[in-house]
Amino acid sequence: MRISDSQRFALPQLRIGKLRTQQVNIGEALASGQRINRPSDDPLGARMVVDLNSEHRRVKQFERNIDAGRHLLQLADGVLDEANNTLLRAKEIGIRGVNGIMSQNDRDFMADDILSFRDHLKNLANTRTQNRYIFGGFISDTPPYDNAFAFVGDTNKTQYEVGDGELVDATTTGGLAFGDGTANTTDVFDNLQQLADAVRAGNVPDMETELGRLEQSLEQVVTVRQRVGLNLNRLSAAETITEYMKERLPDALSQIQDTDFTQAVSDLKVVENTLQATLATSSRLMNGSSLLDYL
Amino acid sequence: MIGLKNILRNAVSGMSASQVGLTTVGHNIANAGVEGYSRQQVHLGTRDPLRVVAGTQEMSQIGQGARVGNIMRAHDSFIEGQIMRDRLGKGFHGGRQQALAILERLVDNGASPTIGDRLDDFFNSLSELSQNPSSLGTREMVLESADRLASSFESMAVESREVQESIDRELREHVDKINSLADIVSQMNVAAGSIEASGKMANDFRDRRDQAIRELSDLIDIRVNAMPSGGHAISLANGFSLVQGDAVARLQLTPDPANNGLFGVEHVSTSGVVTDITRRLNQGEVGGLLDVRDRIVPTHMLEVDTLAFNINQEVNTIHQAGFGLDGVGNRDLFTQIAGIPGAALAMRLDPAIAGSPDQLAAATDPLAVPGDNRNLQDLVSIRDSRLPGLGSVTFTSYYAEIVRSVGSEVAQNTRNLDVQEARFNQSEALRNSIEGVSIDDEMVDLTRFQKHFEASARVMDTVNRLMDEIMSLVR
Repeated sequence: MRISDSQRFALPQLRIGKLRTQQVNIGEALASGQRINRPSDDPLGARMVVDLNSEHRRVKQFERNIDAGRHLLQLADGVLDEANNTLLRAKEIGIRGVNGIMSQNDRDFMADDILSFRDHLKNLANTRTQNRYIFGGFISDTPPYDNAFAFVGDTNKTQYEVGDGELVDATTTGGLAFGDGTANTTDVFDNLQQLADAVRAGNVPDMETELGRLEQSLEQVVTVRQRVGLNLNRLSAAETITEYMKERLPDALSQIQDTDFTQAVSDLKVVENTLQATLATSSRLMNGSSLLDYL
Repeated sequence: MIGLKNILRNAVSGMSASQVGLTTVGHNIANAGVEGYSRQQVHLGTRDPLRVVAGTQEMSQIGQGARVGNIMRAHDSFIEGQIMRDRLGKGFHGGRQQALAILERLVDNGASPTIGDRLDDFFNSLSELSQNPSSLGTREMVLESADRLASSFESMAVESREVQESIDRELREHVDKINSLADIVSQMNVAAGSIEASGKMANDFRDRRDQAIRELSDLIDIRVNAMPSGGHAISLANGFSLVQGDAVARLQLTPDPANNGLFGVEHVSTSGVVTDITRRLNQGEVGGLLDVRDRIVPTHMLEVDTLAFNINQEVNTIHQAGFGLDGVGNRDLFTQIAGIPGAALAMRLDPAIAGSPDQLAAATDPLAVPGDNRNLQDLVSIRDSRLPGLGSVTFTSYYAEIVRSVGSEVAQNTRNLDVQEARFNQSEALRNSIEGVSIDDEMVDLTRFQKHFEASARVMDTVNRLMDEIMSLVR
């Protein structure tokens, strides 16, 4: 084939240009650490990256929901534990009232104690965090028990999304634990009020009746607390999954989009070698002697 | 009788032939770097001999020296045709490449948040609010993320339109170039015609015409026909004449109201008939640009509009069913959109709810405020619903598919462009091999003509001495 002069110059231009492009592309993959720097680098991979990134963000949100839910449930657990202890102390006093022979003065003291427990319980039932009353159901902006010890909340539970389609109760209604004013539950506050009255009056049969109701009150609180524990367990189970996903997703992402450094560096080496060879031959090709030098 | 003058004439013919040769060598060397120049070769011929006749019998023929025949350029029509096709293909994919790369950057540039990211943020903020729907701060956050989602759709629509407009600016340049190249072809037709009427080859004019034709075929698909008169007629592939001898038609751009005011390409014939040929231009750089502007961008915008419309509808439907902190329901989160076309551009946080985070409908029961988060759960759950309007996939999957299809469009075009460039380079090398100037060749010719000249001069010198000899006889 006849080689014209313009070919001698076009060839190096073309080859060097191509090699420089390759060099820059590999350099970009090395510098950014990512194999996919734009969708066209690997369209299918880019699509998976979008999906995985979205999933990763969602899992992180689940984690935030789990943390927030745990805060609420642990708080409820602690409050119910304290409520349980308070009821037990009231029960002790009630039993002393049934058994002991004591003065009116002593009985008044005991009745007052029981009433102060009742106030303490109301404070517990009106526990508030982050400006919300945790036992009020959806009516979270007003104390669930008013000054007359009547329940003014509702029986709804706030659910948190802690996994794909998985909802966990993050609150419990105070009505179930302390009485919601219906016949389905024992009114703990009325129970303590009646007990205090019976103790003050020294009325043993009434005391025994109320102590019997107190057992129901205790059982009510314990049952709700058990349910709280159950939900805490569900949160932990959900957390195991989110933790696992949080570890796995970056791995999966990195498998798709990260540069294989060994491969990239060796590719770069190959390109650089070729480039050097091309540069060397190009200079020969362009500066190479022609007949001109010998005439 | 053959006189010395005859020998002298022969010597002179040789000298002038070599001078023409040397001139051509010089011309070739001078033009070695000119794009589209074809090397020229002098074709020497023999002059008609002097016939010596005795009676009726022809005794002998005596040579009368050399004659400069035609100066021809090295030219291969087959390769020229190949090159035109290759330039056309390269132009098409090259024209698409730039615009596609910009489109790709809109969908996903790896740095600024995409529609997909905004979508995740929006649903996550709803999920965050479901923790404590009474928190005004978190409600504010939801409104902000909804606003950002809406504006990411809006800016996608605006920037896609900008891609189309910048294509229009490029079309303007291309159409100007086509017109001026057509002018060159017609001028060269005239210039070459007047020379070639006398039987000479107008090599340089032909080169310039060929180069103009080559450059034209970067831009649009053309057909070249040699006319009997010697000029070249050029018509667009769809039959519209561009150049006919010295007559030139024009291409012009006119905003097309049927295509959102983007340019339509019109052909204005020499007699002034205007025809819209936009749809028929589907090759070359102009075809590539039009393909991105009128097919690819609208296709992807339709997908983005579909996504925007569905999000708008689904979110609003559920939002309307819920109640704000004030116990009022039936409110929109996004401004209602009439239909899919233009949905992305119209996507907006409803002005009535902007600045009033308490109106965000978190509750399904107007009396269960502020703690009711059930409507938020419903809103979050549409993240996972497979919508018939999106071909039964989720929002995120639909967006991921847009990313994939734009990406593969670009990747495919890059591959095609590589192939076309390789093809073009091959045929260009082949053309250069035949038509290009080689300094080595020219040096050989230079020496050859120089020696030839010297030899002819020697003949003259000899004649001169013979003359002296004869003169001395006379003395």
